[in-house]
Amino acid sequence: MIRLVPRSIRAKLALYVLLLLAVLVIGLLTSVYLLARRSIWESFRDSLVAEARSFTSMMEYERGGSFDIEIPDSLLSRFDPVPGREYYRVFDYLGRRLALSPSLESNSELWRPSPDWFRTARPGDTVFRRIRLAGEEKGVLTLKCLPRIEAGEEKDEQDEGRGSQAREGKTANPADLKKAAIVVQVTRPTTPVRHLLGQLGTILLVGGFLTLAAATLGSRAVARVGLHPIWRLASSVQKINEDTLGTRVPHAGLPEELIPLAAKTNEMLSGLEKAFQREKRLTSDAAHEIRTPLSALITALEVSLRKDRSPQEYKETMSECLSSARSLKRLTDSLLFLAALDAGKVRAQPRPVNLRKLLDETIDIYAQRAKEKSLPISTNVSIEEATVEPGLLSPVLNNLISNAIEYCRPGDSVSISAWRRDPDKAVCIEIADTGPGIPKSDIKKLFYRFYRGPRVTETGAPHAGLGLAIAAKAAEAMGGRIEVESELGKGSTFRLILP
Amino acid sequence: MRLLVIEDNKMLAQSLRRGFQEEGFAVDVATDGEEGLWYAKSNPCDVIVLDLTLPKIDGLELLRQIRKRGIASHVICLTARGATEDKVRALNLGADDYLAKPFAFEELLARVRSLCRRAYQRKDPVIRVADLEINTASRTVRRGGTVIQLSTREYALLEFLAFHAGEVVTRTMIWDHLYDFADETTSNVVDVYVCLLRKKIDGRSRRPLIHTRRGEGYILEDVPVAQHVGRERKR
Repeated sequence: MIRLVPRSIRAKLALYVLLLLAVLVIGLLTSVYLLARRSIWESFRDSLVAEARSFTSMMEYERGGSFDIEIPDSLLSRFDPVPGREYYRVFDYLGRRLALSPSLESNSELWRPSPDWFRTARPGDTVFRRIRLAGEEKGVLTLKCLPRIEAGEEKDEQDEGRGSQAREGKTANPADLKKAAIVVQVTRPTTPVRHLLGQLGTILLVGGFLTLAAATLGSRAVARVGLHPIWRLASSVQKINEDTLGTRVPHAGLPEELIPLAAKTNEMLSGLEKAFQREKRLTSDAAHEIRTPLSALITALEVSLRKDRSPQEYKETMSECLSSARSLKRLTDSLLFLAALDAGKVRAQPRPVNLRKLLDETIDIYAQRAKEKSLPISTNVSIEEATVEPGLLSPVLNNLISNAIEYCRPGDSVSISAWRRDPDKAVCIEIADTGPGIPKSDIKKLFYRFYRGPRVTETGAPHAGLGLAIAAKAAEAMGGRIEVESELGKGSTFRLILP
Repeated sequence: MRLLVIEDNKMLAQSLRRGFQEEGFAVDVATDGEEGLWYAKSNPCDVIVLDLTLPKIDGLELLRQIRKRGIASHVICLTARGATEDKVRALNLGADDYLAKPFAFEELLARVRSLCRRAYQRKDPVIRVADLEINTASRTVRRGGTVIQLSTREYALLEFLAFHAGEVVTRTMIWDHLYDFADETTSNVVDVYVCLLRKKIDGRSRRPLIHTRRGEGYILEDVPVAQHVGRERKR
């Protein structure tokens, strides 16, 4: 299928420019041609009128109603009976023929205006007609006019030496201007006019065609020059791939219409680059977290197998390996859970849960550890039941409570409370400790994946830095959020809000 | 040879200590950057096995500080991050070798031994002194074609003497390079081991290779008997 409108902007632009030019050129040339034609025909007609008028000077109305017509030979010679030449006829006001050019004698009748026109037309009126006669087109001009009117005496007729005379109409009526009017018809071939018009038409047609041909090339060139910045922008954008996200589209030299586009592209590239870097860091962090225990596992086994050892030694190695394998399992679980949360595969299906019981059970898991660190845990739960997804709530509570106990120093305290917030009845679960607190600048980072605060790495706790990331994601999946308030040296408060 | 392992995963660190000790290395273990820097500063070790992800002082930063302080120990970096940039950065900061986790212990061992040889400007794993032949790769010792069985400690002492063949080695040097902080022994033990080693290497040979320089230390050298002035009396 042929597309009428091309796909490329350049071709489209060139096409539109060309179409516009074509319309303009055709319109211009057509009006030039029409104006020229009108004026040429007018001058042709004017020349016929002048010729017709020249007859009036050769005619005289005599008293008594007869006409005296004297046509000089020089004029008559133009009306020889040769085809293609000119004719004349003269009528009185009633359409009666008074005179006829010799060349017309063979032709009985030409076109003539209606009898009405003969009667009603005023002197000076003209009618122009183009007729076919003797195989060619001729222009016929009919003019009504007043001849000279004899004033008493007769003019000297002998003066007209060689002049041939034509006398017609002898009867006379009272001198009446109306009756004195005559009608002259002059005929001339239109061939020269049509020839001229044909030439003009050819010139205009050829000129127009050449103009349009030039315009075709020109419009393509203009489109190319005009679109060059776009093409340049496109080619510099095209060069960017996932490895060269650091490159930016140059602003310099771009037309102002394209600058917002380039700026937006650069902005997007920055965003993409950041996302890629984050992705890379996450992958690298995950690799680190998996490879380290794996490496410990492999090395422990390899070293152990290098020589024979006592059952006691084997036992120790195996229990070490087991703990390493368990930490790998925990990590795998965390990563898979996080991946599922990311993919939106974990759907919250809230159902009524005994919140007090759930909290007590969670606290029980860490009670032993708290006792070792002599951390008192106080609870203040004012809701019995809440509608939540326990599969999502449990990991959050586990993480928040274990964190509080892990990072508290001996002698600190942890208080856990749950209540319904007043205006919107949202469930609030707060885990507050009097631990070391978190620097303001680190609070946001707490929720980053694999982020471990400086204090975490100091304590050497076996965490991958995924706990709070998972908790935040799980809270989000339940439609809630986790808020953190912390003051260095005074303690931290983590608040889970579930609408 | 004395090794410093700086690794925050305690289990891996202990496995490495055990593995290297069983291969005759004196091994110090640090589990964070600060501790690692302290060990590196306070005792000359031949090779440092450095994990790049460390608490307190990051591995790369620790490497920079080690090099800034002019500590000449060879450093092999361990990292669980596979990124090429990390390797390049570590090597550019003055690391001598690089190994990605998880690694085979054998490979780490071979690389550490290679770095030890390099530390004493030796590329040939076989060291020869007269008819004594010490293969530092397979850790076998022959004298005149006969294999001599040595304990790990004895071998380590002989290897150290062999690396310094022709040079006097002081007791302190031996002490520094063959014993780690965990050894609860006195410098007297050096003399005991030299004595044991001498029995196995020289035995009743007419051409003793291990000599005592009174007031200085020991030397592994091929010296004609005539020139040797007075053999030290055994204690």
